[in-house]
Amino acid sequence: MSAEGRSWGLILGLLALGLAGTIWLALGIGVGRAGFGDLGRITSQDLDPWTRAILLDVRLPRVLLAALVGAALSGAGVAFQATLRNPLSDPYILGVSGGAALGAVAFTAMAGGSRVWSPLGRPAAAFAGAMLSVVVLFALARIRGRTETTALLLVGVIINAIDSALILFLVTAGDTSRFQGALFYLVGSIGSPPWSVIASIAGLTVAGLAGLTLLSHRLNLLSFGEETAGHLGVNVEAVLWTAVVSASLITAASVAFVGLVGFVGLIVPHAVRAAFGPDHRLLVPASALAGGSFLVLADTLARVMFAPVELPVGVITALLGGPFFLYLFMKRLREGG
Amino acid sequence: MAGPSASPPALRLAAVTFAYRHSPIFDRFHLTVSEGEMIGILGPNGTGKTTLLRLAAGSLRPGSGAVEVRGSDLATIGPRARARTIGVVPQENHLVHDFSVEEVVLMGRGPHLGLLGLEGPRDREIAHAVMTRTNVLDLAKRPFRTLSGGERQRVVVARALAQQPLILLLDEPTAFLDLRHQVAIYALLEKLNRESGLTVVVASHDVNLAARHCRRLILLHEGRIYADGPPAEVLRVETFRTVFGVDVEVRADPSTGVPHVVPVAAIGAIGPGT
Repeated sequence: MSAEGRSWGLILGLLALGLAGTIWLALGIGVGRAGFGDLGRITSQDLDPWTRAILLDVRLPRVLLAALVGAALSGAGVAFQATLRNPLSDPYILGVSGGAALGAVAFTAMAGGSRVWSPLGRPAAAFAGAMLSVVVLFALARIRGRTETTALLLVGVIINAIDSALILFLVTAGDTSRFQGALFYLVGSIGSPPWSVIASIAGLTVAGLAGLTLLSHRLNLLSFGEETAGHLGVNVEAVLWTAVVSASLITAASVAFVGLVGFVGLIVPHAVRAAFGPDHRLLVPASALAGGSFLVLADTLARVMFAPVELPVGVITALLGGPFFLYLFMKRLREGG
Repeated sequence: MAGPSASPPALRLAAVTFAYRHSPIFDRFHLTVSEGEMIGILGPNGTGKTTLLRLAAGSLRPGSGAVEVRGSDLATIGPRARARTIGVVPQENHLVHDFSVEEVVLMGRGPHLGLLGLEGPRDREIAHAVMTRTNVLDLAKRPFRTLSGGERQRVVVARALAQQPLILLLDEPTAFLDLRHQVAIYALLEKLNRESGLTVVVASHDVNLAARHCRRLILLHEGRIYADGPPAEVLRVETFRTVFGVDVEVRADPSTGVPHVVPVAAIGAIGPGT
């Protein structure tokens, strides 16, 4: 294996360790009595059932969900940035998350409130919504293989506005008491889902990220534009759509259950690129691992910062990501992009 | 130009017809390029130079007729096999993200890599060799976007050479370069052509540079070949009057005999908007 291959392996190994450590940390921190000491005794008989339930049934699914969502949104961010050749892309900013959320909410409205945790139906409907946004986005903002930043961002904003309005209407029609839940979903918040949901998100996310990793070298070749990618041997249409469908799928799987957690797909890939360079063969898996750690930390913060009141995690990602986006946008304007 | 040998030409456009939406460019266009030739494509703006290159590169599909590379129809060759045969140096190169020069040159190995797209030692050797030839080795670790125009162009030539193509197509490679780098690019192309037998087709605005370095010139006029042959045959005073609408003096370079064109006056009124 080449020197580069070894250093990539080392980086990914360290990021995986970091993710495992972050998960451990997040499991030990919380409002209840359960702490790190109990974590070490999780398999022993003398741990009281109440503490064990807090750790295994409340915290563990939530922490795993945060890790999966962080990985998915970061991977999707990389894919959209590469296919649209625009570093400001993110599933939330582009309105892809908005479309997914609308699909998920429409599914529950039609299937009945008891199906909120439906492990397959809800992500499937979210995927349909995400693809609808993607088609609109590509039709309006991508002209002859190029996207103009302002057009892209405006289309994303408008898609989000329409979707948010429709979501609020669908959730609260006939019952305004559900307003708070709808608002939390629009901001993005992580709960403790049943294991069937964790399994569903994990399956879709791992499959989607594996697909994107396989495409990652071709994503490199797209960096000079679609025509040059073709000259370098890329089947451009096939690669573009495979990447966009994979990214939409993993976005939908996440958004279906946590709502519109924003900016993760912007913050994490930019940080990873700054640290390890732009090569997608490293960027895709590294962003997924780092994104998992990032959202686990953000959600832990959301749990404990104003305890016992919990913040929706989307508040934290938006407070970090919003200003970061503005900074990137200003920089881009100055450079005349 | 093609000899009596049985081997098919490197590149052949056979009765190619092409139109952008409502503006027809080529109507049953023919061109044959033999292996090892170095050809300059000349002609005024909008006459089809870039379109011709894009058709030859497979970026555009002809409406009718065929583009053949070594006797096989481009339409039947997949993108990877095509990229192992044809290298392209576009006029402009906009890169997103800060890939290094070395990473950019290794992108040229793309069509030779396996499913995972990982380079091996041989790919690195080839990248190293083409960077040496194009004189960009000492830029290897620099971000591509920080390079000057001349440096970028040499790196993009290196990327195309890393594909190990049979044919190199270049679209006005000197358009944004200063004099020194213009001359350097053509000298490099001529060297590649003479030493490695690489077939080179270069679209050019610069008649004199092309005349000095290409043994065959093709002059396009309104989607047709107006003149085709060695520089001394193609570069005539009457030709420039008809095709470029300009009066020129053509002098033979005393040492090489290569014609040198000096524009004297535009023919007819050039007003705003023309």
